[in-house]
This record gives sequence, C-alpha cells and structure tokens, in this order.
Amino acid sequence: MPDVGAESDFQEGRPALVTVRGREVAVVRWRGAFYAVAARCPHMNALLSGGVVCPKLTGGADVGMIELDERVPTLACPWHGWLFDLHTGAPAWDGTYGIRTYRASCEDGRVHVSLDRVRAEPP
Amino acid sequence: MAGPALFDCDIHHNWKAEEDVLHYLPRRWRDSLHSMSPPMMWLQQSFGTNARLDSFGAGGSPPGSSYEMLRTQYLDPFNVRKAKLSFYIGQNGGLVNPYLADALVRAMNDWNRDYWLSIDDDRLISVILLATQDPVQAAAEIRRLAGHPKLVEVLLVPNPLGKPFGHPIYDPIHAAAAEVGLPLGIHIGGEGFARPTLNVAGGQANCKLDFLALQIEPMMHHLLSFIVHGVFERYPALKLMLIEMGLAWLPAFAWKLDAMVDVLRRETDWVKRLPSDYIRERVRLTTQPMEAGPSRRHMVELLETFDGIEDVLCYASDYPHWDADNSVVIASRVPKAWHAKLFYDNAAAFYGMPPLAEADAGARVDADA
Repeated sequence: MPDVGAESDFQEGRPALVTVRGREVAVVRWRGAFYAVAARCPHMNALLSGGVVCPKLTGGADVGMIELDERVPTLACPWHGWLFDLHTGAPAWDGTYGIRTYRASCEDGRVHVSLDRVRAEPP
Repeated sequence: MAGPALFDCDIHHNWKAEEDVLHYLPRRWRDSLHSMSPPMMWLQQSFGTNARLDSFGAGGSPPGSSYEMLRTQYLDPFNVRKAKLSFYIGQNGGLVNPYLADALVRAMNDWNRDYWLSIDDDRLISVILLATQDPVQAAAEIRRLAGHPKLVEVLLVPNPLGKPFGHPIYDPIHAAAAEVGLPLGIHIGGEGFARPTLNVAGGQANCKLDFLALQIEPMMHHLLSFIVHGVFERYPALKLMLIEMGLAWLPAFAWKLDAMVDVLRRETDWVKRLPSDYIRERVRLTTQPMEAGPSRRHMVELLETFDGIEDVLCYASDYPHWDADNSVVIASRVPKAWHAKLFYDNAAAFYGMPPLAEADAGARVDADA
C-alpha cells in the first residue's frame, strides 16, 4: 500500500489531502483509526479535505431532537455541508451521491492508503 | 478547474478589519458606532459561518478580504474574466439611525473605491451600495460616485422602510440611477436587517431552511413592484438585476402576472405591456443558487417555459459563501447553446460591456500593439 506520510502528519479530526497514484484522496484520522475517501464532493466538486469531521447525525423521529452516533465519523463538505459516512462513503441524504472509500492503515508510524475500495459496515 | 469564461455577477468582498473602513467615517459617528452591522435575529450557521470553510485566510482573516486569495482560489482557476464585487452582503445600510447608515455606506463605498478598485486587475468591477432609508440621500450617493468606470451597478440590500424597491417612495433612487445610466441590483438577505421581525410574511424565519427557501418571497415583491408602480414605463432605460434567489419560481410567477394584467387594468392602466415582456427586456436573474431539480431535463424544460430564458440568466458564483456554485457543474446542467450568453454575454450587455468574443479580440489587439 502506498505510503502517504508519517502518523504525526495527520491531526486528529483534521482531513488532509494526499495524492495516491494521481488520485486526490482525503485522509482522516479519527479516534484511533484512519479513513481515506475520494477527495472531491460529488455535488459541486469542492475539495473535501477542507471539510469538517463530526459524528453522524441520527434521530429525527421526534421534532426538536437531534442526536449523534459517536461511533460513526462523517465528513462535511466545506462548501455546502454535504455529509458523508467515512466508513461507507454513503451520503447522509440523497443516495445518488456517494463517495469512494479506500483502505487506510497505520503501521510503524507510517500511514498507508490503497486505492482498493472499501465497503465496510459501520460498527 | 477552468470551465467557461465567466462574468461573475455576485462575488462577496470584505475588509480585513473594520478599521479599514471606519477611518473613512466622520469622527462623530466613529466615536459612537457600536457595530457596523445592523441588529438582526440572526440564524444559526452550520459550523459557525456563512462562508466556505476553505475561504478563511491565513491567521483566520475574513473570507473575501484578501485579493490574493480571491485571485488564486477563484478568479484564476475558474477562468473569471469579470468579477462583480458586491460587499459582504452590504446589509450595513440597515442600521436603525438613517443618518449613520448613510454615512457608513458612504465610508464603505470610499473604502471599496480606494482599496479594491485601485487594484491593478481589470477583472474587478463593483457596485455603489446604498442605504435606502432616506431615498434623497441615497440618490445623492449615486450621483457622487457615478462615472467611476468600475462601478457598474447600484446595489440595494437592506430594506428598513419595508416597502418593495419599486414603490414610489424610492423614486429619487430610480431617477438617479436612470439619470446616470446605471442598473439597479437587488441582493437577497437584507429583509431582516433593521426590521428583524419582517423578513418574510409570517415574520422571522426560524431555521436556515425556511430562511433560504423563502428568499424568493421578498424578491417577487421587489420585482413586481417595479411593474405595478410603472417604474419601467417612467424610466425607459432603467434595468434591474435580481441576485441570489434561485430561478425555478420565475415561469409560474410570470404566467400568473400575464394572465391577470389585462383583467386588472382598471387599476393599473400604466402597465402597458405584459409583465413577462418587462422581465424579458429589463430584468436579469443571477443563476446561483440554481435548483438542481429531479434531473437536468426537468430543470431545463421548466426554465424553457419562459420564452427567451437564455437571454435573462446571468452567472453568479456567490463566492466565498457556503452555498457557492461551481461553474463547471452549472455548465453541465444547462444546454451548451446557453453557455456563451449565460456565463458572460448577457451580463456584459446588461452592464454595457462588449461580449466575450469582442473583448478577447480587443485584448489580442492590445497585446499585439
């Protein structure tokens, strides 16, 4: 798997832009794990690496209640705030606009990203 | 990124610090000014800002405040040939004190002229911002600044008097704009300033969703008031740019007006033409935020029900605001046959500038000379 940098290069919850075999990839370090997704938002083509990582919004059954699933990180686009599940690449809404997820791991202080696609289920 | 050559009708520029502007303000106002922005029951912003998160400058400088960042993040990579700077968003004329509002807007106009419009970049053009509470003073501000070659529009944003901008109370503004040959522009978002309970019928919107979706409501009223009150008849050369309210509402609105105008002529006989004809000839709409619709086909078919829509639409990005459009994406949503007009030539004609092909030919001649 291609090496995209030292573990210390990636700040907790701060997406970073790397290039893997010519492809733009946003890498996110979040609560002990690394995630990698295609870096362009399918809505307006903004770079997701400028976005914000936050827990997944859930709930909505009761008016006035907004809940977060702390187990599932999502990446919010820096422009219009479109949200993507970092485990699956699935959007928080309109299912036609997902993003690719890639394999990311950290070994011996180095972060690696493979362009193999990941479709992991969230915990 | 590239994409089509752009005449961008709505870019928001800002100051790095309020002092940049305040030193233009007379001392008596500077000493008592509490805030440059009028009070509003403002709404929650996602992630605490109405700007793109990637548009803050080094050290957190405000979005839109750096020419270098504007140039490198937007103008150069997106092939922008003309960039109309429209303040951020210019709500400052909505301060409750009309005399202070007028003085502050004058200071902002002076700052804009001295800082942004003195930058050696022919792409940059801008607007004369007005405080509208005293229309006579507003008209004086138009006449004070008219003639500057880079000031191409008179911009109306806050609406403290609560009348639509075509109402006769604003006749001094209409007259001055017509006299100096500048179009009027109306940008959404100013309704709540200085009248914080009245931004739409029913009062203050509570969430960004209802606030943004209802921005068409005051804009419909502004547009219709120019027709109902005969402004376009009284000033045959006056033109109007409507900025940032979306597009899909226009056909149905025009159908309703066209269907009723003759029946109601007893009360409004001075409306000589079909409302849709006034719109087609005198009004332009900026594209952002362009509704995606269920599909490209649905949106285009809807817009095409307004005859000549391709002559009415002018591209705007709304950079650096959070809901900015990307011209490459917009180009994929509208017919190629519209591109030259929508992305450049309609706006150029509206503001009295040459079409793109002619501008490019002129640039080649200059380069060869």
